[in-house]
Amino acid sequence: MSAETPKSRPAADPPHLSGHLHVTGASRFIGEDVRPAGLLHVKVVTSPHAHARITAIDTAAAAACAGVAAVLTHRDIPGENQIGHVLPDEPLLPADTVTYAGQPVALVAAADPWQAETAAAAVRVEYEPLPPVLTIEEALARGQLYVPERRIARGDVDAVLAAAPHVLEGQVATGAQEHFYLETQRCVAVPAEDGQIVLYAATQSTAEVQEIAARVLGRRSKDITVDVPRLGGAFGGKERSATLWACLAALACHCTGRPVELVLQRVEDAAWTGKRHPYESRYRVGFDDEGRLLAWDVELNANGGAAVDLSLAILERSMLHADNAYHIPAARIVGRACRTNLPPNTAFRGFGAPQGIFVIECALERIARTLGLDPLEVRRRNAYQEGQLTPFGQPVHDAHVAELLERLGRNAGYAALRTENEAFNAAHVYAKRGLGVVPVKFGISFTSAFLNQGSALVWIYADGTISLSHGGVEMGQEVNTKVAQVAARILGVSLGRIRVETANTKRVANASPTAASTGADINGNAARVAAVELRARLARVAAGMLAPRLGRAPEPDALVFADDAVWDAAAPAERLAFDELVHQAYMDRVDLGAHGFYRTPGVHFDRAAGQGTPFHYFAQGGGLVQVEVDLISGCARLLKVHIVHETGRSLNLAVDRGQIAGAFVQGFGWCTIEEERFDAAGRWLAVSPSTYKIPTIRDVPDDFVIETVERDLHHASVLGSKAIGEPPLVYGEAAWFAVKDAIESLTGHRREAALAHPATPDAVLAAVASILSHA
Amino acid sequence: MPDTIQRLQIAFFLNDREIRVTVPPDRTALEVIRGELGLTGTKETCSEGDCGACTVALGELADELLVYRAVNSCILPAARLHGRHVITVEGLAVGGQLHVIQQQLLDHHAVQCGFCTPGIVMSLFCLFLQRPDPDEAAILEALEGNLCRCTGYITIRAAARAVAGRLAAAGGAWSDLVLPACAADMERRLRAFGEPLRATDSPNTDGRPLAGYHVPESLGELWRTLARAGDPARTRFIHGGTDVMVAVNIKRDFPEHLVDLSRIPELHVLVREGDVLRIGAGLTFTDLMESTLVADHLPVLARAAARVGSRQVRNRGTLGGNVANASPIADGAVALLGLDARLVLASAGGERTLPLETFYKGYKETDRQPGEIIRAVEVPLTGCIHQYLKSSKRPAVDCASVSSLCAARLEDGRVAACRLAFGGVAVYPALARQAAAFLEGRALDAETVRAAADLAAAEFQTIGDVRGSAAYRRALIRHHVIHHLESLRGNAELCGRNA
Repeated sequence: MSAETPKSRPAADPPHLSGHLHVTGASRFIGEDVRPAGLLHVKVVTSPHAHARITAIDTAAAAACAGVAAVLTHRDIPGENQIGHVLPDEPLLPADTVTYAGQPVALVAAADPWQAETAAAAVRVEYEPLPPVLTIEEALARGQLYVPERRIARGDVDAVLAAAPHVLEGQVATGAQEHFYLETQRCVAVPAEDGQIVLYAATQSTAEVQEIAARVLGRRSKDITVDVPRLGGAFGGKERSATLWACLAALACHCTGRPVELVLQRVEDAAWTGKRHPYESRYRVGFDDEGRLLAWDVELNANGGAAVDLSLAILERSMLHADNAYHIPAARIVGRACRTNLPPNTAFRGFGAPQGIFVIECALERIARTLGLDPLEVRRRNAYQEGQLTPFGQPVHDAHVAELLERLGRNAGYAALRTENEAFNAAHVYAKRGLGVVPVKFGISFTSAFLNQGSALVWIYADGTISLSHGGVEMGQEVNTKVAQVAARILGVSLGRIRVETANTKRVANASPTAASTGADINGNAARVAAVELRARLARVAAGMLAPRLGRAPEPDALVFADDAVWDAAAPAERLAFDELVHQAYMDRVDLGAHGFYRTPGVHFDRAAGQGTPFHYFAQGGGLVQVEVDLISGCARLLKVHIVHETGRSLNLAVDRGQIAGAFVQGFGWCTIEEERFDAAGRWLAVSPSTYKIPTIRDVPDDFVIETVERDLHHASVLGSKAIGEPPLVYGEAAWFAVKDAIESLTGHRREAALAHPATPDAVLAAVASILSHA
Repeated sequence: MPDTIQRLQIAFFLNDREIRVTVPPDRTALEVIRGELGLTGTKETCSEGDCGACTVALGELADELLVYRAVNSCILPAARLHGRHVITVEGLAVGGQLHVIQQQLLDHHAVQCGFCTPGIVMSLFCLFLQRPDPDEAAILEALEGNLCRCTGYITIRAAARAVAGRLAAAGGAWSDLVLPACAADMERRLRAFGEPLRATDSPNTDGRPLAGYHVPESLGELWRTLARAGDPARTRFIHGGTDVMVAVNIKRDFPEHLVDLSRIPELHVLVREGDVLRIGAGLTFTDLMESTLVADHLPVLARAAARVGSRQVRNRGTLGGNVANASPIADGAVALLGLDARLVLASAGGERTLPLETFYKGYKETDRQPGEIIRAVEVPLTGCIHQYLKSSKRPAVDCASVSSLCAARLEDGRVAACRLAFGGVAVYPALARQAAAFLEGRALDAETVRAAADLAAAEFQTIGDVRGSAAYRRALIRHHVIHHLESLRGNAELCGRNA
């Protein structure tokens, strides 16, 4: 079936499937559609201490408040008081010890939100505070790791370093990042017959919420349905973190027998949930006179917070991206995930890769400065060539980073920008310009191989319209648009025929989280499989219908499905309308439903050995940023962004461009103005948009070029496309290097700026003061 | 907790509907729109007016003309809807036909998760109602208060430009494309609306915190309202609500009574009286930015106003509220301190005036007595050169780490007069007196500039907090003085453009 992999995209990218609903306010988010009568409101009582023993919980006063239906603690959990997934280290409601500030201890369900709030304030919990461990340094000193340190190694690093012409050592720290999805954590739980509960949960992981809610309620998966219409942003923050809130809502629903709604306020959400992991890393790098990497010896230490959550997988991805886009003959990559008393840090777009990549990018920048070479040229020189092995033993195919960097340098006018910056800097005392370039080679697949499976359920109704369910959760990344496009293309129908259903555990069971940029790959492929099956069945019917008209029986394989019609390739004038064909198939008692299943081929990773082929393929590209740093205020303003990114045969270029721009802005926010620190008591300091500043429209320059490179690749996914969600976030790091470049221009790049991450105005002025005092 | 609370009977227009709701006085406009009225297009995200997801267009009469402004409905008391017209995202598309703004956002793929989208639509709607051809600066100004975490904004900007293109193509008929049918007869209907805001008392069965919301329509009525409300310590004034409602929503800091000053005409005067500009305390920052009187005589005040919050906040926040709230980084207060403004305070017992520099007594403590309001500020017109600087982590919609206003006059190359006011350096807006005194009479050479900067930095005990370290603030004080003085010397181009 030659039409299975069309080489050309339609001229115009179809719009967002829900776009017309979003712009009119008609789209429904959780809690806006299903609001059963008698809905109770849940308010959660959390620990003010990062670490403490619970000595007493008194709920009597709260229970006596007006409108209260239930006040619940660990004593009310009918099943297992455990929501841990990787390790059993996360009670739903702790019985004796709290391990982070913001940890739920009790909850109140009441008729009215104000009543719930009033009653929650009346819950008395007594604590005996214990000393918290908050920093990576403390945790390492105490050996507080979830699991022993992990290693990936290739070659004799110590010997190569000893013999290397140049060796640099360094330490690098990157900061936390708040997800700031606009829709806060929430869940509506509705009771159903026979002890069932339906959870309308704001989660990226329908199956996980189902399984764990069943566990804490002492039920089985068949008793719990999870339904997700769409999310108002997630970015990883609802992959694992959502489970806690959904389970609390499920508990309240179970205990009261009534529908409940749990919605976190913005400041609660920010104070109580985990962030992107802060990292502290150290490295030694050996290189030759041309700036070629010889040896890379790096330790990556992640602050995981109070529960393991996804920290091990995140750390693993950091280690698997410690090389970024560069071939390194000898490497030793050590990773440690530290248990501390912060809210459990969690998935955030990039999933550890940006932290791992940042370290080697710091090293590359220093190598260039040390040798007096151009930083872009040093990066290009080290980029993987076709078939070279990563430190974990996977060959890099379609190795295009060097070429993409050349294209970036040429099309962005890199050399001219350098000259322009020098002239500007010579003429301005209090303003300096700088340039940063960062490439990416981002591995696509869950590194836990078993998660690389997708499912889809496609029903063609007798009237020719189509119901499409798949395992992905729509959260703005337009996985629904892309998966529908795949099915539409294979069945040759217009998108308007297709209704993409809510993500629901009853229609698609055991779904992997919508994460790791794989949503469209695995679910799109599953939809492709289902659609191909349906097309084959319809083709047999069509052949029978066309035979009398053509005077011969066409080969089913020669039939063309397009334009809501079917015809024989050799006789395009004789067309069957899709509706007509489907109606006949129904009358002929042909099965019009198909379940498609897809497992990503060839991925495996041996954790103990640190070797394998964890990725189906790599996404690649490069990003350039020009900034102007105001030395009066320390503010950095982006002047120019230029990104070159390879998309394969994009399913929807407009969607991919939107993902590139959005990811870049999140990445540059993380590296510049998004500052999230904790105080000595282990509480996040910036928990509202008045103090935690994500980029606004003013922070994004008008001069923002996105070049997508569309071409056929040997290694790509559904219909020749590539995953897009996370990789471009890494380009945001170029902003940090641009700021550093601007500061270092103060000394003609003879000294290195001690610039912290993120490069806030505060950090910029400190780096300026430091570099000038040493000049 | 009060024993009885009001039930407010609020009548207003929502899109094409006439609405009557009876709600407790603590209700916000957003709660009424999403809850009582079930229009869920308008979203709640931050509850403190910092994200714009809850933006609606609030139409009210100003000098008998209907004006729609973008407001954050999460910090708008529901009582403020009374007698107004609200247009929400649901009110723009007619008969299945997308509004031109909606169509362009869709066509430009400027929508991802969709949660911020309704707010973006409404901010653009209010922008294009005002003018069909906004330039880039106006587009950014209109949208800086709408956070989007998905798109990276570039498609939103492109869509906004495309809307302008469509309106240009429509020529004189542009407003027909922008103004929805539900607004057609609204000016007349609002003029005809004469119903007062009614309230009945009822037992406080839910334990709600706020007993009453009062909207006096003159100073005389205000004093009578206060007398009836009893203990002034249990009463708080609210004007724009951009501070008061944040305290209510986030800190649950409720008074027993809120007394709304927004309908008191005496607070909305703006006149020049000789060498003094008298500015009613009720003028919003948008009013200051749009006033030709301010532009002619005190342009620095309009520039400082432009740095306050977002468009939505500037549309509600007032100069008087900014001064009374006594935040150490209040843009309006810092600017007025630098301008040597005097406050006119009024109470049932009469009026008094005092210099702003004696008004602040401690952190969030002022000389304002219970039952006393700020009626106006009086700013002397001195012929000084003014510059306002604000340094914050993020250029838009952020509190200052340090802000400053320099008012100075040079004569024969020497400083004849100088006043330096700072925000973010002490528990309230404060003057750098030593640096200013040092400068008077001196020529502005490089050494003098540096010495003045060092003096100013030494005048304050800066502290570190979530907005910046003590060292950073100290550096900013120095740098602000340098920037001010370099600008006076004619060297402004040496400095960055985003100080």
